[in-house]
Amino acid sequence: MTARTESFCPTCTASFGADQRRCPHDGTPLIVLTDADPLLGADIAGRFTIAARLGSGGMGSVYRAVQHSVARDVALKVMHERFSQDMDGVKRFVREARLASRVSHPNTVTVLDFGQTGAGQLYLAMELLRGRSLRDVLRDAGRFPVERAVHIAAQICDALDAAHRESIVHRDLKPSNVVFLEEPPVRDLLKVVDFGLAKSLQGDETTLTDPDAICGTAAYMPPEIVAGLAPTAQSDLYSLGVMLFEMLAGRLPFASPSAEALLLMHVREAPPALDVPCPPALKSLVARLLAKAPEERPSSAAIVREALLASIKGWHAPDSTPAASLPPPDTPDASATGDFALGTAPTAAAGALPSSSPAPKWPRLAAALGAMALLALAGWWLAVGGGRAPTTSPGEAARAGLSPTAGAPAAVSAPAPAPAPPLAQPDAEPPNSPDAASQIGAPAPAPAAPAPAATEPPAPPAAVTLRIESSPPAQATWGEKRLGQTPVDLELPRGDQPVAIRLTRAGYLPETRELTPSEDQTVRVTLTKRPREAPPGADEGFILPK
Amino acid sequence: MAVFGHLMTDSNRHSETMSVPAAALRARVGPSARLVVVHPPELAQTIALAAAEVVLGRHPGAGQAELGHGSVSRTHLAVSWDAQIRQHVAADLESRNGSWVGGVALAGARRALDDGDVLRLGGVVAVYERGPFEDDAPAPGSVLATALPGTAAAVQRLRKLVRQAGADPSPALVIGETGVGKELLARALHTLSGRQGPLVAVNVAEFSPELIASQLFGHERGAFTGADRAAPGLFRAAHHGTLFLDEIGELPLALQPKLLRALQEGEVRPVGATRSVKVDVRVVAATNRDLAADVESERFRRDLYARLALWELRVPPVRARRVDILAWLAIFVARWRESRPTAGLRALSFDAEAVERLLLHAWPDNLRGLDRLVHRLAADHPAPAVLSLAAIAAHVPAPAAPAPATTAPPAPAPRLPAPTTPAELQAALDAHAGSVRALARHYGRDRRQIYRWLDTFGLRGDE
Repeated sequence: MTARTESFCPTCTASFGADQRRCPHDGTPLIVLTDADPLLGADIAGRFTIAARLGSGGMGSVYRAVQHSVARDVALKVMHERFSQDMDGVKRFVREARLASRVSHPNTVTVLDFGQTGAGQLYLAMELLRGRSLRDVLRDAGRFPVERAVHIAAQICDALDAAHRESIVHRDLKPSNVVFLEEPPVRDLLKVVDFGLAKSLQGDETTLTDPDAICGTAAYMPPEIVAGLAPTAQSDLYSLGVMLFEMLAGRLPFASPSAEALLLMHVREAPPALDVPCPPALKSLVARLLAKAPEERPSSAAIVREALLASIKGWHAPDSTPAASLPPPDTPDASATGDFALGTAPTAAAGALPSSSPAPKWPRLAAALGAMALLALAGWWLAVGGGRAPTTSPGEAARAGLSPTAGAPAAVSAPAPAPAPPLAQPDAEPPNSPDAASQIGAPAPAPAAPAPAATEPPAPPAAVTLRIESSPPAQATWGEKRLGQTPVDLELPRGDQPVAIRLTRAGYLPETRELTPSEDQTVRVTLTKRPREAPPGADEGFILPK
Repeated sequence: MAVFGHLMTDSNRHSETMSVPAAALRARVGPSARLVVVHPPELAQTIALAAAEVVLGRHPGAGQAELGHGSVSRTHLAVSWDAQIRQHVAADLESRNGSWVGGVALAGARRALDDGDVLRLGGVVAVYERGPFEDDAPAPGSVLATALPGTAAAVQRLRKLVRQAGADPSPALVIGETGVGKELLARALHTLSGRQGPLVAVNVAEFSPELIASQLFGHERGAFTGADRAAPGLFRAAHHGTLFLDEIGELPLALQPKLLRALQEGEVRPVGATRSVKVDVRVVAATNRDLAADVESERFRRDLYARLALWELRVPPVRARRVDILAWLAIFVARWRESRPTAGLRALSFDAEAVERLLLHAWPDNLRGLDRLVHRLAADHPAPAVLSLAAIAAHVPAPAAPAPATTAPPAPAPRLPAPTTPAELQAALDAHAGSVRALARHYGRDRRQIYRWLDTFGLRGDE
């Protein structure tokens, strides 16, 4: 991060270097402007060291920081001081942060920690994402083919469902709050960021001291929020409907040069029909999501997800999917999008997130990450600043201290060309902040990339699905991870390391199966009844005390 | 407009998070509501209500709502929009015969109107409904006119959804109290779908848990003792048609994965069979239980619920469609007469107080309760007569807890700050004996707001 300091004359409006104190023209004392950030290099609560600023906005700044205990990079949001003076705001922030930290889902950003800096500013530590926002990807693509739009929306539903089940409403869902992971284990794996948290500080209709304010984003604003009601899960589903419309049609359902007129359109005007080829069931789903009354929308994100996947079953695009709108597929079975994103992606994603280890296990991933500039989840964050270009556009990326290549579309494609990695590190870090780079303490990605793309075999599908069935149904666990009741589908990166799945059910002997994720397979297990210690003939319905 | 300045100069399609003052905007959003006059029949009409005050009376003046009835004063009642509490408010204009809301005299007080409130102006009865409205009228004799008649706003909205759902083969879940006509709706869905196969209706609760798998999915010969020949099962019986599973909440947990699989894969495996059979069946399930709560308590699988409820059709109880109660009574009288061509009873007519009582009754058995009332009144009153409150009081008791004395909304309960923790809301809920209505008064908010809070915090309150 380059700290620029300059002086400015309020009389003649000329600018000077930082060393001037008075205007040489008229002698007026100069106003000193600086963007130096006192937090750079600072220690936060003894747990993090701030390495670089990724962006800033109306509510605070986002930094890349190193978490001491595990020496990993994290994204650290530090709120403006003014928020820490609002007692209610702080309480809301803490409550929401605590709720958010309970949500653990591959399509949401994991909240790692929160608290106060030495100076009393609130901070929130989250896993650091590298990727592009849906907003940027969609802008480059124009619009998406039906299957891809459905596949993306279904993942957003998964994220929403996980959050709604913890009573967290997003309240500001929009494309810039959805981030595509770079090099995902499966195509188009994305994360929804900024659940409710920013709003917890700004307050909303029911909690704000000034009840006459609308918070949110005009283009995606649910009608009930405009009308002054509290946001619910159904409000998020409305915003999802706007996004789905936008992905399919390449335009927003409502648009107006005036924000006020736009907000009123959400309340009053019927959404236009989707005039692109798509399954009738999908059209009617979009219409239901855009219903003015929250009660008329589907009652949960899980239902929307099922409806999305069901809507494209057996449907084929008339012919022309705009090929240009598809990034180069990084898996041969890119067409299998409709079936992706069952409740199984957790495992696939967890392995891929770069946050867990400074030395990534996947060389290919390391090379690609090195080749990419850091793009944190700062996009939404900067957006508050008003009238500015989106963070992840090249211009804004540069402003945030990132390389102009950061937002280049090429970032989505698979393995970087061989020469890229050595260039990557200086690209990713501004040249004049060597201290920031050294604080990471992570090995440079370049040497960690022994497998150049050329030697890779023509890739088989990157993920395989293991289906586990049992008779009777049982709870399946993988290590610490609960997979749910059988039958379950477990999606894993292809590999030859066996995974142990344990099946348990009250009254039955537990069973463990080792499965090798080398190909799709279905495993059926029959559980054996636990031998009764009670004498035969004892009442079946009771467990006798020993 | 200054607050929108940065957005207006920006061509980025308003995708920035913002916080804007809303008072001016809200004033322009305005309410959407209406008064439906249901009695006397010759005065039947719909009066649209918005932000402007509407005066009801015999000669209320130009642009106002005229009710040409002898019991109505020249200017009888005013309905205006209170922007502060965001509710319509009714005020009696010193009418000669008085005004009632929910059976309680207004006297000098003003009273905020809730969705479904029953108003009486002298001898005229009307129902207050909030939007949105889908003003449609199904063609007489059409599928929907038979299965889902009525003009209540809730029924209009449901009809719109049913039209959409009919065409789509995705599973539908019909949710409604006992006696609201869930099976009728399932039949309408089947007819609207144009599917060639049969409609097979079963009540899941009627099967023994041991037999249900073989009933639904079929079985092979010798699959179990007594299975001396193969049976196709109800799924295959409904091939190319619709399978209606009533009381789906009673499906044993152990069988739910099997149903899920049938829905997802479109195939069933008969008991004792080694391979699955493809079936083309549209499943319509129905429940009178709160299945969402069953999901939370893990009595019903979350994934199965999500898969069954691609269309959620919530059939409103009779008390949520008061506008239609008299029309339904007429329908049941007509049906009663069909089997008794010589009966003297042609139609039931009521005076205003009797109508008010009928509309305020809770109707726990819903349409079945209305049907029962017709049979009883037909037995009591073989000859046509105008039935008074006294004539029906024995069959239609007054609501258990009449609404409390009207309080004037100009001094509404102060808006307490919203609860910030589930515990806080739970404590307030406990303090008001679980009554959402009381809690709404406590916080000075709409009841719907309280329900949203309860939802947000995952709590439950009593109606």
